[in-house]
Amino acid sequence: MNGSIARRFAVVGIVVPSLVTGLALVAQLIALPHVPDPVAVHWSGTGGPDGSGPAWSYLVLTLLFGAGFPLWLGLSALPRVRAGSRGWSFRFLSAFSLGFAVFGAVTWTWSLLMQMGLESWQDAPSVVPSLIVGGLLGMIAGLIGFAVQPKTVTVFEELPSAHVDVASGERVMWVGVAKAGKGSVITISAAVVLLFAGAVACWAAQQYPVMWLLLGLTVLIGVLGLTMSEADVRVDATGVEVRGPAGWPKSRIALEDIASAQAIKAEALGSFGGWGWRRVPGALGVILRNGEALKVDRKQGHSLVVTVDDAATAAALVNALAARRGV
Amino acid sequence: MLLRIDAASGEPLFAQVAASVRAQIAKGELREGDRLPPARDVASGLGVNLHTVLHAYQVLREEGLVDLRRGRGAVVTGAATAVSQLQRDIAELGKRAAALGMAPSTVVELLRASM
Repeated sequence: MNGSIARRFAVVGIVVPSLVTGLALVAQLIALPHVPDPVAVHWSGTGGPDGSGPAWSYLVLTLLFGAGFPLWLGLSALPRVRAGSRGWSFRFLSAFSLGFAVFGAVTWTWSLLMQMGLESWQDAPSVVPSLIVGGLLGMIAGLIGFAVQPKTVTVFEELPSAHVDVASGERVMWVGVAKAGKGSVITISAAVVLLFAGAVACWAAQQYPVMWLLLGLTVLIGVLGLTMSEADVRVDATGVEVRGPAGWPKSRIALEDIASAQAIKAEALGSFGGWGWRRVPGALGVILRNGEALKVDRKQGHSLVVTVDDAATAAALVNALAARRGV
Repeated sequence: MLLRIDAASGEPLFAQVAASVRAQIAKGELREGDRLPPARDVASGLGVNLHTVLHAYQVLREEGLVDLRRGRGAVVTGAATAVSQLQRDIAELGKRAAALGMAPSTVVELLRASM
Protein backbone atom coordinates (compact mmCIF):
# COMPACT_ATOMS: atom_id res chain seq x y z
CA MET A 1 0.00 0.00 0.00
CA ASN A 2 2.88 2.31 0.91
CA GLY A 3 4.46 1.77 -2.47
CA SER A 4 1.24 2.29 -4.35
CA ILE A 5 0.40 5.58 -2.59
CA ALA A 6 3.88 6.93 -3.19
CA ARG A 7 3.75 5.74 -6.80
CA ARG A 8 0.43 7.45 -7.46
CA PHE A 9 1.71 10.60 -5.81
CA ALA A 10 4.77 10.56 -8.07
CA VAL A 11 2.77 9.80 -11.23
CA VAL A 12 0.21 12.54 -10.58
CA GLY A 13 2.52 15.19 -9.19
CA ILE A 14 5.77 14.60 -11.03
CA VAL A 15 5.71 12.16 -13.96
CA VAL A 16 2.59 13.32 -15.86
CA PRO A 17 3.28 17.06 -15.33
CA SER A 18 6.83 16.55 -16.63
CA LEU A 19 5.53 14.61 -19.67
CA VAL A 20 2.90 17.27 -20.43
CA THR A 21 5.52 19.99 -20.12
CA GLY A 22 7.90 18.03 -22.34
CA LEU A 23 5.23 17.61 -25.06
CA ALA A 24 4.40 21.32 -24.86
CA LEU A 25 8.08 22.19 -25.25
CA VAL A 26 8.42 19.93 -28.31
CA ALA A 27 5.34 21.51 -29.94
CA GLN A 28 6.66 25.00 -29.21
CA LEU A 29 10.12 24.12 -30.57
CA ILE A 30 8.53 22.88 -33.82
CA ALA A 31 6.49 26.09 -34.09
CA LEU A 32 9.47 28.33 -33.32
CA PRO A 33 10.70 28.87 -36.94
CA HIS A 34 7.17 29.73 -38.12
CA VAL A 35 6.20 32.48 -35.69
CA PRO A 36 6.95 36.19 -36.14
CA ASP A 37 9.95 37.66 -34.34
CA PRO A 38 9.16 39.12 -31.87
CA VAL A 39 5.91 37.44 -30.87
CA ALA A 40 2.99 38.83 -28.88
CA VAL A 41 3.48 38.05 -25.18
CA HIS A 42 0.95 40.33 -23.55
CA TRP A 43 -2.66 41.18 -24.33
CA SER A 44 -4.70 44.19 -23.29
CA GLY A 45 -7.91 43.81 -21.37
CA THR A 46 -9.91 44.33 -24.56
CA GLY A 47 -8.36 41.33 -26.31
CA GLY A 48 -5.73 42.64 -28.73
CA PRO A 49 -1.99 42.11 -28.17
CA ASP A 50 -0.20 45.05 -26.54
CA GLY A 51 3.26 43.70 -25.76
CA SER A 52 5.90 41.72 -27.63
CA GLY A 53 8.92 39.66 -26.72
CA PRO A 54 11.19 36.92 -27.99
CA ALA A 55 9.50 33.62 -28.88
CA TRP A 56 11.77 31.64 -26.57
CA SER A 57 10.23 33.40 -23.55
CA TYR A 58 7.27 31.00 -23.99
CA LEU A 59 9.57 28.01 -23.70
CA VAL A 60 11.25 29.45 -20.62
CA LEU A 61 7.88 30.14 -18.95
CA THR A 62 6.57 26.69 -19.81
CA LEU A 63 9.73 25.07 -18.49
CA LEU A 64 9.89 27.14 -15.29
CA PHE A 65 6.26 26.64 -14.30
CA GLY A 66 5.76 23.17 -15.73
CA ALA A 67 8.96 21.63 -14.41
CA GLY A 68 9.68 23.78 -11.36
CA PHE A 69 6.78 22.57 -9.26
CA PRO A 70 7.22 18.85 -10.02
CA LEU A 71 10.96 19.19 -9.38
CA TRP A 72 10.30 20.83 -6.03
CA LEU A 73 7.75 18.13 -5.14
CA GLY A 74 10.22 15.45 -6.12
CA LEU A 75 12.93 16.91 -3.95
CA SER A 76 10.90 17.91 -0.90
CA ALA A 77 7.68 15.91 -0.64
CA LEU A 78 8.37 12.61 -2.43
CA PRO A 79 11.05 11.43 0.04
CA ARG A 80 8.60 12.11 2.89
CA VAL A 81 5.77 10.19 1.19
CA ARG A 82 8.15 7.32 0.46
CA ALA A 83 9.11 7.30 4.15
CA GLY A 84 5.47 6.78 5.08
CA SER A 85 4.32 10.32 5.81
CA ARG A 86 0.64 10.82 4.92
CA GLY A 87 -1.51 13.89 4.66
CA TRP A 88 -4.25 15.51 2.63
CA SER A 89 -1.90 18.19 1.40
CA PHE A 90 0.35 15.67 -0.36
CA ARG A 91 -2.71 14.68 -2.35
CA PHE A 92 -3.62 18.32 -2.92
CA LEU A 93 -0.11 19.43 -3.87
CA SER A 94 0.40 16.68 -6.44
CA ALA A 95 -3.03 17.33 -7.98
CA PHE A 96 -2.22 21.04 -8.06
CA SER A 97 1.09 20.30 -9.74
CA LEU A 98 -0.71 18.35 -12.47
CA GLY A 99 -3.46 20.93 -12.99
CA PHE A 100 -1.00 23.78 -13.10
CA ALA A 101 1.28 22.01 -15.59
CA VAL A 102 -1.69 21.25 -17.90
CA PHE A 103 -2.93 24.84 -17.66
CA GLY A 104 0.50 26.27 -18.46
CA ALA A 105 1.25 23.82 -21.25
CA VAL A 106 -2.12 24.30 -23.00
CA THR A 107 -2.29 28.08 -22.62
CA TRP A 108 1.29 28.92 -23.52
CA THR A 109 1.54 26.42 -26.36
CA TRP A 110 -1.77 27.61 -27.81
CA SER A 111 -0.71 31.28 -27.47
CA LEU A 112 2.47 30.58 -29.39
CA LEU A 113 1.05 28.20 -31.99
CA MET A 114 -1.79 30.58 -32.90
CA GLN A 115 0.85 33.06 -34.05
CA MET A 116 2.30 30.65 -36.67
CA GLY A 117 2.39 32.17 -40.14
CA LEU A 118 1.58 35.70 -38.95
CA GLU A 119 3.43 38.69 -40.46
CA SER A 120 3.68 40.61 -37.20
CA TRP A 121 2.92 40.05 -33.53
CA GLN A 122 0.29 42.77 -33.76
CA ASP A 123 -1.88 40.46 -35.88
CA ALA A 124 -2.14 37.92 -33.05
CA PRO A 125 -5.69 36.94 -32.15
CA SER A 126 -7.16 37.16 -28.67
CA VAL A 127 -5.59 35.08 -25.92
CA VAL A 128 -8.90 34.57 -24.12
CA PRO A 129 -9.87 31.19 -25.69
CA SER A 130 -6.47 29.70 -24.77
CA LEU A 131 -6.84 30.93 -21.20
CA ILE A 132 -10.38 29.55 -20.86
CA VAL A 133 -9.62 26.17 -22.40
CA GLY A 134 -6.28 25.93 -20.59
CA GLY A 135 -7.92 26.84 -17.30
CA LEU A 136 -10.73 24.32 -17.76
CA LEU A 137 -8.41 21.51 -18.82
CA GLY A 138 -6.09 22.36 -15.94
CA MET A 139 -8.96 22.15 -13.46
CA ILE A 140 -10.20 18.86 -14.90
CA ALA A 141 -6.67 17.42 -14.79
CA GLY A 142 -6.28 18.59 -11.20
CA LEU A 143 -9.58 17.02 -10.15
CA ILE A 144 -8.70 13.73 -11.84
CA GLY A 145 -5.28 13.85 -10.21
CA PHE A 146 -6.95 14.34 -6.84
CA ALA A 147 -9.55 11.60 -7.44
CA VAL A 148 -7.11 8.87 -8.47
CA GLN A 149 -5.24 9.15 -5.18
CA PRO A 150 -6.64 7.41 -2.14
CA LYS A 151 -8.10 9.43 0.67
CA THR A 152 -5.46 9.30 3.36
CA VAL A 153 -5.64 9.89 7.03
CA THR A 154 -2.84 12.11 8.21
CA VAL A 155 -0.24 9.92 9.85
CA PHE A 156 2.48 11.50 11.92
CA GLU A 157 5.86 10.02 12.59
CA GLU A 158 6.05 9.47 16.34
CA LEU A 159 9.15 10.49 18.25
CA PRO A 160 10.56 8.60 21.25
CA SER A 161 8.48 9.25 24.36
CA ALA A 162 9.69 10.47 27.74
CA HIS A 163 8.47 9.75 31.23
CA VAL A 164 7.40 12.23 33.89
CA ASP A 165 6.42 11.15 37.39
CA VAL A 166 3.63 13.05 39.08
CA ALA A 167 2.96 12.25 42.74
CA SER A 168 -0.61 12.55 43.96
CA GLY A 169 -0.18 15.79 45.92
CA GLU A 170 2.26 17.35 43.51
CA ARG A 171 1.54 20.34 41.29
CA VAL A 172 3.46 20.22 38.04
CA MET A 173 3.43 22.40 34.96
CA TRP A 174 5.36 22.54 31.72
CA VAL A 175 5.95 25.67 29.71
CA GLY A 176 7.59 26.01 26.35
CA VAL A 177 7.87 28.57 23.61
CA ALA A 178 7.26 27.56 20.02
CA LYS A 179 9.52 29.63 17.80
CA ALA A 180 9.54 30.11 14.06
CA GLY A 181 12.42 28.87 11.95
CA LYS A 182 14.94 31.42 10.66
CA GLY A 183 13.75 30.97 7.08
CA SER A 184 10.16 31.98 7.72
CA VAL A 185 11.18 34.94 9.90
CA ILE A 186 13.38 36.22 7.07
CA THR A 187 10.71 35.60 4.43
CA ILE A 188 7.97 37.38 6.37
CA SER A 189 10.18 40.30 7.37
CA ALA A 190 11.29 40.71 3.76
CA ALA A 191 7.67 40.64 2.55
CA VAL A 192 6.63 43.29 5.09
CA VAL A 193 9.59 45.54 4.21
CA LEU A 194 8.98 45.16 0.46
CA LEU A 195 5.25 45.87 0.77
CA PHE A 196 5.95 48.93 2.90
CA ALA A 197 8.62 50.15 0.46
CA GLY A 198 6.07 49.70 -2.33
CA ALA A 199 3.54 51.76 -0.37
CA VAL A 200 6.11 54.53 0.14
CA ALA A 201 6.93 54.48 -3.57
CA CYS A 202 3.22 54.77 -4.40
CA TRP A 203 2.93 57.66 -1.96
CA ALA A 204 5.82 59.42 -3.72
CA ALA A 205 4.19 58.74 -7.09
CA GLN A 206 0.84 59.96 -5.71
CA GLN A 207 -0.81 56.61 -6.50
CA TYR A 208 -2.99 56.77 -3.40
CA PRO A 209 -5.43 53.87 -4.00
CA VAL A 210 -2.54 51.46 -4.62
CA MET A 211 -0.72 52.91 -1.62
CA TRP A 212 -3.67 52.12 0.65
CA LEU A 213 -3.91 48.62 -0.79
CA LEU A 214 -0.21 48.02 -0.12
CA LEU A 215 -0.43 49.52 3.36
CA GLY A 216 -3.38 47.24 4.14
CA LEU A 217 -1.41 44.25 2.91
CA THR A 218 1.60 45.35 5.00
CA VAL A 219 -0.54 45.35 8.15
CA LEU A 220 -2.25 42.05 7.24
CA ILE A 221 1.00 40.21 6.49
CA GLY A 222 2.58 41.84 9.54
CA VAL A 223 -0.16 40.58 11.87
CA LEU A 224 -0.18 37.12 10.26
CA GLY A 225 3.60 37.11 10.51
CA LEU A 226 3.44 37.88 14.23
CA THR A 227 1.09 34.94 14.85
CA MET A 228 3.57 32.81 12.91
CA SER A 229 6.61 33.97 14.87
CA GLU A 230 6.00 32.69 18.40
CA ALA A 231 3.49 30.87 20.58
CA ASP A 232 3.48 30.02 24.28
CA VAL A 233 2.63 26.45 25.16
CA ARG A 234 1.49 25.50 28.64
CA VAL A 235 0.61 22.17 30.20
CA ASP A 236 -0.84 22.09 33.69
CA ALA A 237 -3.48 20.33 35.77
CA THR A 238 -6.24 22.21 33.95
CA GLY A 239 -5.15 21.15 30.47
CA VAL A 240 -3.11 22.32 27.51
CA GLU A 241 -3.06 25.84 26.16
CA VAL A 242 -1.38 27.42 23.15
CA ARG A 243 -1.31 31.19 22.90
CA GLY A 244 -0.02 33.48 20.18
CA PRO A 245 1.79 36.72 20.89
CA ALA A 246 -0.30 39.10 23.04
CA GLY A 247 -2.61 36.22 23.91
CA TRP A 248 -4.08 35.81 20.44
CA PRO A 249 -4.85 33.48 18.75
CA LYS A 250 -5.52 30.99 21.52
CA SER A 251 -6.51 27.36 21.77
CA ARG A 252 -6.97 25.25 24.85
CA ILE A 253 -8.05 21.72 25.65
CA ALA A 254 -9.29 20.92 29.14
CA LEU A 255 -7.58 17.95 30.80
CA GLU A 256 -10.85 15.98 31.02
CA ASP A 257 -11.23 16.16 27.20
CA ILE A 258 -7.74 14.81 26.52
CA ALA A 259 -7.32 11.22 25.38
CA SER A 260 -3.53 11.20 25.11
CA ALA A 261 -0.50 13.13 23.91
CA GLN A 262 2.60 12.25 21.92
CA ALA A 263 5.72 13.86 20.56
CA ILE A 264 5.63 13.71 16.78
CA LYS A 265 7.49 14.97 13.77
CA ALA A 266 5.38 17.61 12.05
CA GLU A 267 5.83 18.76 8.50
CA ALA A 268 4.48 22.18 7.69
CA LEU A 269 3.91 21.51 4.01
CA GLY A 270 3.10 17.83 3.98
CA SER A 271 0.65 17.61 6.83
CA PHE A 272 -0.67 21.15 7.16
CA GLY A 273 -0.18 22.71 3.74
CA GLY A 274 1.96 25.50 5.15
CA TRP A 275 2.92 27.47 8.23
CA GLY A 276 0.98 29.32 10.91
CA TRP A 277 -2.27 28.53 12.71
CA ARG A 278 -3.93 26.06 10.38
CA ARG A 279 -7.09 24.02 10.61
CA VAL A 280 -6.84 20.82 8.57
CA PRO A 281 -9.10 17.75 8.70
CA GLY A 282 -8.56 16.15 12.09
CA ALA A 283 -6.25 18.73 13.59
CA LEU A 284 -5.52 22.32 14.45
CA GLY A 285 -1.86 22.97 13.77
CA VAL A 286 0.25 25.73 15.22
CA ILE A 287 3.07 25.08 12.84
CA LEU A 288 5.93 27.53 13.17
CA ARG A 289 8.67 25.24 11.84
CA ASN A 290 9.26 21.66 10.74
CA GLY A 291 10.15 18.97 13.24
CA GLU A 292 9.44 18.10 16.86
CA ALA A 293 5.87 18.85 17.90
CA LEU A 294 3.45 18.16 20.73
CA LYS A 295 0.28 16.44 19.56
CA VAL A 296 -2.67 16.34 21.94
CA ASP A 297 -5.59 14.09 20.99
CA ARG A 298 -9.06 14.88 22.21
CA LYS A 299 -11.40 12.10 23.30
CA GLN A 300 -13.71 13.49 20.66
CA GLY A 301 -12.85 15.95 17.94
CA HIS A 302 -9.71 17.26 16.34
CA SER A 303 -6.20 17.09 17.75
CA LEU A 304 -3.96 20.00 18.58
CA VAL A 305 -0.45 20.01 17.13
CA VAL A 306 2.13 22.60 18.08
CA THR A 307 5.77 22.61 17.02
CA VAL A 308 7.77 23.07 20.20
CA ASP A 309 11.11 21.86 21.57
CA ASP A 310 11.12 19.21 24.32
CA ALA A 311 7.68 18.02 23.18
CA ALA A 312 8.35 14.55 24.62
CA THR A 313 8.47 15.95 28.18
CA ALA A 314 5.31 17.98 27.56
CA ALA A 315 3.51 14.92 26.17
CA ALA A 316 4.66 12.78 29.09
CA LEU A 317 3.31 15.34 31.56
CA VAL A 318 -0.03 15.50 29.74
CA ASN A 319 -0.32 11.72 29.91
CA ALA A 320 0.76 11.61 33.58
CA LEU A 321 -1.75 14.30 34.54
CA ALA A 322 -4.51 12.60 32.56
CA ALA A 323 -3.70 9.25 34.19
CA ARG A 324 -3.71 10.80 37.68
CA ARG A 325 -7.05 12.43 36.99
CA GLY A 326 -8.48 9.10 35.83
CA VAL A 327 -7.47 7.28 39.02
CA MET B 1 10.58 23.30 31.01
CA LEU B 2 9.08 21.47 33.91
CA LEU B 3 8.19 23.24 37.16
CA ARG B 4 6.96 21.29 40.16
CA ILE B 5 6.03 21.94 43.76
CA ASP B 6 4.63 19.78 46.51
CA ALA B 7 2.20 21.54 48.83
CA ALA B 8 2.56 18.73 51.39
CA SER B 9 6.29 19.36 51.78
CA GLY B 10 7.41 21.57 54.65
CA GLU B 11 9.48 23.83 52.42
CA PRO B 12 7.95 27.26 51.67
CA LEU B 13 6.23 27.34 48.26
CA PHE B 14 8.29 30.28 46.97
CA ALA B 15 11.49 28.36 47.77
CA GLN B 16 10.14 25.32 45.91
CA VAL B 17 9.33 27.40 42.84
CA ALA B 18 12.81 28.97 42.94
CA ALA B 19 14.40 25.53 43.39
CA SER B 20 12.42 24.22 40.44
CA VAL B 21 13.69 27.02 38.19
CA ARG B 22 17.22 26.50 39.55
CA ALA B 23 17.00 22.81 38.72
CA GLN B 24 16.03 23.67 35.12
CA ILE B 25 19.04 26.00 34.92
CA ALA B 26 21.33 23.32 36.33
CA LYS B 27 20.03 20.79 33.79
CA GLY B 28 20.71 23.27 31.00
CA GLU B 29 17.01 23.43 30.07
CA LEU B 30 17.16 27.17 30.75
CA ARG B 31 20.07 29.08 29.28
CA GLU B 32 21.38 32.60 29.27
CA GLY B 33 18.90 34.92 27.55
CA ASP B 34 15.90 32.59 28.01
CA ARG B 35 12.77 34.18 29.36
CA LEU B 36 11.09 32.71 32.43
CA PRO B 37 7.34 32.23 31.94
CA PRO B 38 5.24 35.18 33.14
CA ALA B 39 4.66 34.94 36.90
CA ARG B 40 0.90 35.04 36.33
CA ASP B 41 1.08 31.89 34.16
CA VAL B 42 3.21 30.03 36.69
CA ALA B 43 0.87 31.07 39.50
CA SER B 44 -2.23 29.77 37.73
CA GLY B 45 -0.41 26.69 36.40
CA LEU B 46 0.81 25.62 39.83
CA GLY B 47 -2.24 26.90 41.67
CA VAL B 48 -0.28 29.27 43.92
CA ASN B 49 -0.53 32.93 44.71
CA LEU B 50 1.00 35.39 42.22
CA HIS B 51 3.10 36.88 45.04
CA THR B 52 4.59 33.47 45.78
CA VAL B 53 5.95 33.30 42.23
CA LEU B 54 7.13 36.93 42.29
CA HIS B 55 8.88 36.16 45.59
CA ALA B 56 10.61 33.17 43.96
CA TYR B 57 11.72 35.31 40.99
CA GLN B 58 13.00 37.91 43.48
CA VAL B 59 15.09 35.24 45.22
CA LEU B 60 16.54 34.15 41.87
CA ARG B 61 17.33 37.77 41.07
CA GLU B 62 19.16 38.19 44.37
CA GLU B 63 21.19 35.10 43.45
CA GLY B 64 22.03 36.81 40.15
CA LEU B 65 20.46 34.01 38.10
CA VAL B 66 17.81 36.21 36.47
CA ASP B 67 17.36 39.84 35.56
CA LEU B 68 13.95 41.32 36.22
CA ARG B 69 13.14 43.92 33.59
CA ARG B 70 10.01 45.92 33.22
CA GLY B 71 8.18 44.77 30.12
CA ARG B 72 10.55 41.89 29.34
CA GLY B 73 9.91 39.84 32.45
CA ALA B 74 12.53 37.61 34.03
CA VAL B 75 15.51 36.79 31.81
CA VAL B 76 18.17 34.22 32.66
CA THR B 77 21.61 35.83 33.09
CA GLY B 78 25.11 34.67 32.19
CA ALA B 79 25.58 33.48 35.76
CA ALA B 80 23.30 30.54 34.85
CA THR B 81 26.10 28.93 32.84
CA ALA B 82 28.46 29.15 35.79
CA VAL B 83 25.79 27.79 38.11
CA SER B 84 25.05 24.79 35.93
CA GLN B 85 28.81 24.11 35.88
CA LEU B 86 28.97 24.48 39.67
CA GLN B 87 26.05 22.06 40.09
CA ARG B 88 27.99 19.52 38.07
CA ASP B 89 31.06 20.11 40.27
CA ILE B 90 28.96 19.65 43.40
CA ALA B 91 27.52 16.40 42.06
CA GLU B 92 31.08 15.25 41.39
CA LEU B 93 32.13 16.32 44.92
CA GLY B 94 29.20 14.41 46.41
CA LYS B 95 30.19 11.28 44.51
CA ARG B 96 33.83 11.50 45.67
CA ALA B 97 32.82 12.17 49.29
CA ALA B 98 30.51 9.15 49.21
CA ALA B 99 33.31 7.02 47.79
CA LEU B 100 35.48 8.09 50.73
CA GLY B 101 32.68 7.14 53.11
CA MET B 102 32.19 10.68 54.43
CA ALA B 103 28.88 11.59 56.06
CA PRO B 104 26.89 14.27 54.18
CA SER B 105 26.89 16.48 57.29
CA THR B 106 30.68 16.40 57.39
CA VAL B 107 30.88 17.43 53.72
CA VAL B 108 28.42 20.27 54.31
CA GLU B 109 30.45 21.41 57.32
CA LEU B 110 33.68 21.38 55.29
CA LEU B 111 31.96 23.28 52.52
CA ARG B 112 30.63 25.87 54.91
CA ALA B 113 34.07 26.33 56.49
CA SER B 114 35.63 26.89 53.08
CA MET B 115 33.29 29.73 52.16
